[in-house]
Amino acid sequence: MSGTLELIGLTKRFGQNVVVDDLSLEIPQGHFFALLGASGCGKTTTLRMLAGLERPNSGRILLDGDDITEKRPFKRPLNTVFQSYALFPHLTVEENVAFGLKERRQKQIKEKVAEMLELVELKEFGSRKPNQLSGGQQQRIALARALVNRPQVLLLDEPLGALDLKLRHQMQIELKGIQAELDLTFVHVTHDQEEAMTMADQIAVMNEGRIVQLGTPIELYENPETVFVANFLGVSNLLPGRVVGRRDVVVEVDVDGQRIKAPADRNRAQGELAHIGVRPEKLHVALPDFDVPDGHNAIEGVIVSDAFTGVGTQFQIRLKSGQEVSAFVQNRSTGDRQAVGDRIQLHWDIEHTFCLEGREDPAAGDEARHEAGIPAVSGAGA
Amino acid sequence: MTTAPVANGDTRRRRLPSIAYLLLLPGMAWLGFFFIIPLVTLVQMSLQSGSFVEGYTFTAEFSNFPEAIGDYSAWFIRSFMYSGIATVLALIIGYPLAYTIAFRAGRFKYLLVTLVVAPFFASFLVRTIAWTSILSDTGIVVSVLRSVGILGAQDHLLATPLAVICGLTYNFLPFMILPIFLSLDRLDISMVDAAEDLYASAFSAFRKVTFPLSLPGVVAGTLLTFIPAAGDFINAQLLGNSSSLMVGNVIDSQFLRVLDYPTAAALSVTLMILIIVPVSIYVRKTSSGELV
Repeated sequence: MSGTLELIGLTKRFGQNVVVDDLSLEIPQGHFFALLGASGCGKTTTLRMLAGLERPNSGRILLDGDDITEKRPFKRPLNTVFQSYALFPHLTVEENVAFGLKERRQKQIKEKVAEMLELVELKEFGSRKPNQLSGGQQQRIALARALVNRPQVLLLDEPLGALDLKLRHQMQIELKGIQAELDLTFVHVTHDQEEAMTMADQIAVMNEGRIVQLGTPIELYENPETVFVANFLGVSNLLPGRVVGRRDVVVEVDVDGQRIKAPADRNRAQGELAHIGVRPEKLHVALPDFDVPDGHNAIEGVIVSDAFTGVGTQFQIRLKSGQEVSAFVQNRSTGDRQAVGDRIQLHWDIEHTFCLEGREDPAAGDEARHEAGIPAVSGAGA
Repeated sequence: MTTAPVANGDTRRRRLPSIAYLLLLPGMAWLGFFFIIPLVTLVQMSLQSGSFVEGYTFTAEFSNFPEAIGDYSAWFIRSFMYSGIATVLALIIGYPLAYTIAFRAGRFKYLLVTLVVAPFFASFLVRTIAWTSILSDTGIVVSVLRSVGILGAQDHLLATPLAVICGLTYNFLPFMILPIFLSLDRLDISMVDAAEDLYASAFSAFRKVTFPLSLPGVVAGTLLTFIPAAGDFINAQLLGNSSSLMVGNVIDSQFLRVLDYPTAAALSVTLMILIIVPVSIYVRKTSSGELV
């Protein structure tokens, strides 16, 4: 089994508009790889170039070292699950699934189709027409129709976009299971950061035709390299400040007169200006006279709102500078709870701090996330 | 108080059908006056006997039918042959045109659709008369074909069966193009992408996906072309000769010149049945797979 994809300097222009800009990427065999970004970031165009449905203006696509850039779509050992499923309405479910096998004049088509319908648990629906199935069932048929061809790489274009939340979660787990079982390379295009984090081994975050950061979900979440990634994946508190000291292991940043430290290897600020970042669930909310442990940063503030969500409480805290940050505190304490109006002290582990380039717009990535339909304040634990 | 809304809902539900029938009334009246009554009159007329001078009376004269069919079978056959050929030609010309407009015309799409219907701004008669000068012996088509040797000096285009078929094809071509265009235009292009992704060549994708999905348009187009073409008499009259007349011409002359109303009516009813029967078989066959 093979299926290592290599994209080298891939560029696609529509008129004056550069949609995919000099994109290079290696997708190893057997990986569940997600291309994540807001609409218009070039992720779908990249996928269509892999499928052969768009021709790149420049660059090359290699599959196990073979150049497939100029190959027509029907000559590529890749199959696609389309966003709208694109099931053929005039054919039955069985005929839909058998389509690719028939085109390649395979043998034992009936057996293979039956086996695949069993895998997606729709064996008894073979003689129906696609429009007699529910959205989730259509989605599985689209998956079966692609997988039955045993492609070396499966391309998925927002395959779960049209499903409701519950079904989406279920399909996420099923997709991941099928991918692991067949040991196939999956390239999954999505705008849903949670979906990408749940399923993918590796995520490439795309913005304006380029990859802004590539890594595992944990790397991207814990160590974002840009404000865009910090805001697009999950929620980040970003505090503007000035770099006042650079040492071997930590950088020191002045945020409104307070010294905040961040690990040097998580510092992306080139000059003096920096954004100190920390995720809401990393923050501890403590009384003002609390003795902050060594190795923690601390900053004072006043609680302006609290929202109890059961598993925890979502606090909005106003700092001295007037900026508001959010903190998510798990429901584990037994004593008094902090309430609105309380003066408190926020503290967090230096290791949980990241330091980003200060010249970046602190709202970068927010808009992209709103477009993707994900609320800005989502309970980090939810 | 709490039951009031329920009662309201009930009366509304009970009222709805009568309002629906009321709204149907104008349409039903129209159909009654201008379709049912003429149809019944026509059938009744086809069973009359007598002469124009003495007057025709209803005698359930079923022999009108075998007589009319026997006398004019050649005209029937010719009608179906000409309109059949014209329909095939219109499909051959119209499908690629509709395909190009739907998929390749870009921003000129709707301009081109407008141009397809543009001939309708001139009357049917005027357009057909225009063809008499296009195909005349002194016209450019004949002189070009003669100069390249395809037509001899004694050959004509006008007043031939070919001219009639050309006229029928031309006049009914928009009825072929428009439904095909509509079914292609609303075709989800990702279907074609999916077919190619599933190893279908461009031709195979067309044969197995694009064409089957455009079949409703093809069915509608062929019907809209074939049915009026089979009953047409203008093209045969203006572009044909005495041996290329169609059954429409016979009906026309029986009604208006010979004044043999029963024969004319019997011919009309026969033509109607001859069209309805194959058309309904055709529609049933092509729509069995839930095309639309």
